[in-house]
Amino acid sequence: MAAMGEAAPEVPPGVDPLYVAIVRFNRRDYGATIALCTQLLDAQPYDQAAWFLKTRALTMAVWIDDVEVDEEGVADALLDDNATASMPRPGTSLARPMTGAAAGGVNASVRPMSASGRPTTGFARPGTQSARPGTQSRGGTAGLAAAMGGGRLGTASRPMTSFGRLVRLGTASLAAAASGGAGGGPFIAVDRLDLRKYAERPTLARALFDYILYHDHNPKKALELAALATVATDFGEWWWKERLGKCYFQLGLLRDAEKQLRSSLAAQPTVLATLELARVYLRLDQPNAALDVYAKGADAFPHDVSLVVGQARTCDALNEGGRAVALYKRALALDATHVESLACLAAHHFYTDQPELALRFFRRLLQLGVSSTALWNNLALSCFYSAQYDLCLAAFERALALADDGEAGDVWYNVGQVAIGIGDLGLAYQAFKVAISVDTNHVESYANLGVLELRKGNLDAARANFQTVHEMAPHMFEPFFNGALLAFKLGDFQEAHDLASKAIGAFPEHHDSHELLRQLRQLFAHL
Amino acid sequence: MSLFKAREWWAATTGSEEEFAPTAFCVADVDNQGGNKVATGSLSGLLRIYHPRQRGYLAEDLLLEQRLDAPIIQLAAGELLPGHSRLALAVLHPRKLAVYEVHAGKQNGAYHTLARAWESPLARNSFSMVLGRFGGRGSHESVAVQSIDGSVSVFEGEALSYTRLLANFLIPGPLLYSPRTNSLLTANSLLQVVSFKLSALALARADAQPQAAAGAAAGAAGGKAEKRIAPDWAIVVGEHVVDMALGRFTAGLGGGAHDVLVLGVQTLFALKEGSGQLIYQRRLDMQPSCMTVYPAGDGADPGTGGADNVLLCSATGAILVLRHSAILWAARAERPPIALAVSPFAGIKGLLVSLSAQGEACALYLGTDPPTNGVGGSHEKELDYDEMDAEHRTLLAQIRETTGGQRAEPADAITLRAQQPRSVDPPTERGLGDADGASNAQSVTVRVAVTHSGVGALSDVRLSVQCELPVYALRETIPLPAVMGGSGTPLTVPIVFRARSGGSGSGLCPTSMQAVVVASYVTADGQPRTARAEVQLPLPLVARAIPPVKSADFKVTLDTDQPPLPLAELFDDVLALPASLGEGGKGGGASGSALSLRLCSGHEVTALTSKNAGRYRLQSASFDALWLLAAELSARLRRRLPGVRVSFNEPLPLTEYFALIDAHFAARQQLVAVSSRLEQRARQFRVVQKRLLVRFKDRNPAPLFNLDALLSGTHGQIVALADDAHAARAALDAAARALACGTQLVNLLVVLRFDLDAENAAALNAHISARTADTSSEQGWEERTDAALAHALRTSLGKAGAPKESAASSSLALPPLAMPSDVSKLKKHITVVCDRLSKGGRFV
Repeated sequence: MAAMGEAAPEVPPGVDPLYVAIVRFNRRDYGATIALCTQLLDAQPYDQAAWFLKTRALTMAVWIDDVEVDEEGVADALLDDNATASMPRPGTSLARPMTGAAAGGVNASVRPMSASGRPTTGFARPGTQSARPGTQSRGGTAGLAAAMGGGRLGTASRPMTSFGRLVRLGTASLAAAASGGAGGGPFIAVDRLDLRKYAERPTLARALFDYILYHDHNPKKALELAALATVATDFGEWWWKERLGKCYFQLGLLRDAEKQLRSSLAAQPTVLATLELARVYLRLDQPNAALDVYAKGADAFPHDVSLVVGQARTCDALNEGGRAVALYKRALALDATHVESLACLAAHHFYTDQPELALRFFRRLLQLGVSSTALWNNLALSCFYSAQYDLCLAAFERALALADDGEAGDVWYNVGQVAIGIGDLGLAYQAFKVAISVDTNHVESYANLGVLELRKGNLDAARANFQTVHEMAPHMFEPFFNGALLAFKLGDFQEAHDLASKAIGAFPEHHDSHELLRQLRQLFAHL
Repeated sequence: MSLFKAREWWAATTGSEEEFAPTAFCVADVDNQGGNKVATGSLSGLLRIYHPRQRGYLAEDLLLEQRLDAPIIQLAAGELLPGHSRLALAVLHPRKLAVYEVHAGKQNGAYHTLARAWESPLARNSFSMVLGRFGGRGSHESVAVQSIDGSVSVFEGEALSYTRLLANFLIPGPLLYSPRTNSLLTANSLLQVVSFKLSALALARADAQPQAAAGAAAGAAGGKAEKRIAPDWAIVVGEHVVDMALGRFTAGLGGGAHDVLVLGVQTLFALKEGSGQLIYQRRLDMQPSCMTVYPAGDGADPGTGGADNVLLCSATGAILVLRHSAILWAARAERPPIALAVSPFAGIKGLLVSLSAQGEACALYLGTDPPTNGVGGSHEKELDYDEMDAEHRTLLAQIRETTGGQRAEPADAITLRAQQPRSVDPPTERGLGDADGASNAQSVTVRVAVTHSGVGALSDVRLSVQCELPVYALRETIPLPAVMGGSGTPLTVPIVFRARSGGSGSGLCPTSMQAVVVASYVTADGQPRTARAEVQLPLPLVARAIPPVKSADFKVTLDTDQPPLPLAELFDDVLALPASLGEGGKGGGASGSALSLRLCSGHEVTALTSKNAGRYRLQSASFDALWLLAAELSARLRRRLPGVRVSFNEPLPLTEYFALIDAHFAARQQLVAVSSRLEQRARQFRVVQKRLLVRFKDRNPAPLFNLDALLSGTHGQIVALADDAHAARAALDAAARALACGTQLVNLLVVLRFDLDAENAAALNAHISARTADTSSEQGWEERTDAALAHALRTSLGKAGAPKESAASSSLALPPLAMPSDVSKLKKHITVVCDRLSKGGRFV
């Protein structure tokens, strides 16, 4: 994104400045475009072409693809009155994904679970890590705490409201306009506009709308304009309806959004409206409806990757791993360079005990030019588990070199895992300690540290570690089971029973926990 | 995201800072010599024509470089000249359309020349043009020029045939001619793709013609009033359109039919050519910048089905090859192209020709090399496992050190080494003006060696000396300006100790023969540090031999299991002193079996030794004075007779000790009583003072009622009480000193009697401490010792049968220490401790 206060480029003699502005706009040199248009507007304030171009450039400079970025705000998540069933059947709600291997998913003891009780995906997006704090499923303060917390504990928190993040972006762009604008103040004072007048000027209306929505992030005003413009076009145009739906969605009026988007799709099937509609259904916690929408869209536009990936993500969220993998493969057939699909397939192969295949996928990602901490870390793990030990440490070194504070904890945790794998428990212990020092909420490190302390014979330290995890990550069953086992061996049968029950709650098919519970029941019966 | 790098086969750079429009780029056989040429035109008006003939750029590849008189907006090659089928180059300038013929030089290698065929002025600023056989007729191609403000001018040959304004126009979009439908397609500001039939444009009413550009702008502001041409069809794509092209892309096209490919900022659309129906959409996860279409294969390949490949290019330089909607290939170009073409060069088919924003024309091919940047070589260096191992080991050592709890002292530290003095100084060294005037006092010079192990000099090292009265150091703090580091000769500092035998410190029994020398300094990196050394002062400093006296109020007998040593031998250092006390020069203590010493406090202590058994008796008129000789005797015996067992078999002199405790406690109580009375008087004094002040300040004072007498009386009382308190404090000091001596004696005897080892002896000394001086009024020795003993009795010295409480649990419930009302409990505890020790109980 170019800086707002950029100086206008030099226009070669004999060339219309507007022409240069258009060329620069197409080249995405928005700063130069804005500067040129500002000059033109200074000379001729009523030059519509320059106004239009400047509006579009300002919009594009801060534009984000809001179909991709979606995270529920705390308020939306907690005060969710759109849920249709208070106790949904498994597989019909994101808050209650399919459980167990029946759905084609992998076993929780093989693939780690995210806080929402489904396997971690191979690709981190907003919302993939955090639990959906459904009021219906947990309720009470637990839901509140989960909603306030971020995905990776302690790293990022949810925005307060659905467009809280957008509002923040809006203030940022306002600040930039105030500081960089030549005349001071925003380019368009939306609150003072007579939207009715603009709605009747179709050429300006769309640019103005996008400006209000993407630059000012003012969905209420944008909605007003879109409503007027739809009336002006006799309710016939899919674009305005789609934008209406977008506004309603941002305002949280999901049913209205659904209506508008359905109407838009009826007028003209588009990928954009399909994605928006599916997003509405996901927000309504109707994943199956979203899947239907995606599937219909994919029938109409069989070559669009985003629809296929959308289905795959939803299947992932429902813990239907098998379907998701098939969809990711389809996406890759359409676009062999699709990073998310590659990453998810790599993760799938990694957790289904095929590290060699995962390694190939990760290498492909590397060839695609992705170079991130997570990728190097995963490469290192795949190398390790496919017995290419010489590459493993080098990859970890790279991962650590690239890592920031948010990720270094994870890398050190994995170094610790590898150290356990090679039997160097001292190194493992230190690695987990480092992981915790970097990220004090790294629950997995606490859990493993607990086991190591247990091996060292430090029972109190082990218990303290387990208890830390119990509080911070109630979705992990291993620490519960380990704590239960420890309590059992120490003779604290009541605590062992409590913890084993919690382990079963987190992972209902955990055989060892069932076995422990059975023994405990026998003991209680003897007593 | 790109999998591979697009490799450069040929590249030409301009080397100057020109700006290039994406349309000013044309790949065609413009000079009609066979083989495609690359023509570029800059906004500065420079036209260049290249002919890539081999890998790598040569100077001969530049066929023509000529500055035209106006900026070049677009280049296109077509059969523009009537009559023959040679290609001519159409050049669009902002206000002019020109058509040139490019003539090759006569000889091989000569420069090409440019011949203008015709040119036509334009009424408005132009934006783009499109060539085509409009209407499908005619032997040569015509030109349609789109102006920047929304008009389309169609030229027939060099003649302008008509100009029409397009509707809903603000910013021009890409322009496209569709021969099959004979229509012009463009994208307008409604985010629409619109199609205008050329026939409809031609037949539009003449009054739709604009008068002038300025008039059009005013008309546009006027809104609907303007007559603009309505499109044949229009479809909202909802995005800004970057590029448009015709191509066979979707499956199931009839022969000769094309799709209209529309590249939006986010999506690739395909429209039906005839109706504009949206038949294909694909969202792109990149920012596309240009698109080009070329026929896939050479027609012989049945797999293509006559389909075209579509090349998409992103702003970051990624090039995607699509066919039938699947991505065939992805590559990345080093220089992000703004325009792309596909053309054969030098017999190589399908080279990509790209123009970058800086005017670099490149011919690329899709190699299978991965892109170099971003990844980098993963093995810059060979892993040195030995070194890694060594580093790991040192790290582990460091970790162990830090977690082990013991920190190593830094290497650069000051160490003190004190030379233990064996005897007092020869008389010549003393007599140098003693402040106390006690010229007959002994003095001891201790030499302390100060060593600095680091490098460089340490400044401001301060030695301070601590010792217990009556022993004192002549200088208590000794500043050392600089201590040099390194292994040179250490700095030696003499410290002179003396014992007071008269003056303010007289009459004090020595409580400790130990002195501590502390060096405090700041290291080079700013850490404050200290070093200390302990000095055992020699007995002659405080005692000297006198003729034996007979005062046996208190007696202590020490037994040994070895034959007795003559006292003269044991205390040779004391006897070696010239007796200067005037007690008959010869130091009569040398009589073999008896030795009397007079301490500097004036106490006299006598040691007697038995003739046959290894038994020594110590006797003195005061109990507390015995300790010094007892301690010295046992220490000297151990030193002279290694392995000797010194024991004490009499009952412990607890009665005498308890008397000392009583005296000390009484002195404390006295001090407390005096202090509280002093406090009362002081309060009374303040109250009286306040009342008097009120009286004096009052306008109509009441009579004094003898308050003045009361005030002065109280003042007198306060002065008297303060004197009392002073005396009480002095008495307490003396009692504490006596108690310290007594404690040391009793402790020594307990150790000897119950044969405690060094560890238990230390524990005993810690529990019944000889530090009796009352540093604060809140906690006194009695309650401290009582608490320590009670704790010991509950824990380590507990009854064998009773469960021993752990140290942690018993320490919780203790009440805060307060001065007890009497000391009977303490005495009982001491008795019980001795009892337990006698029964074999031990502290540790």
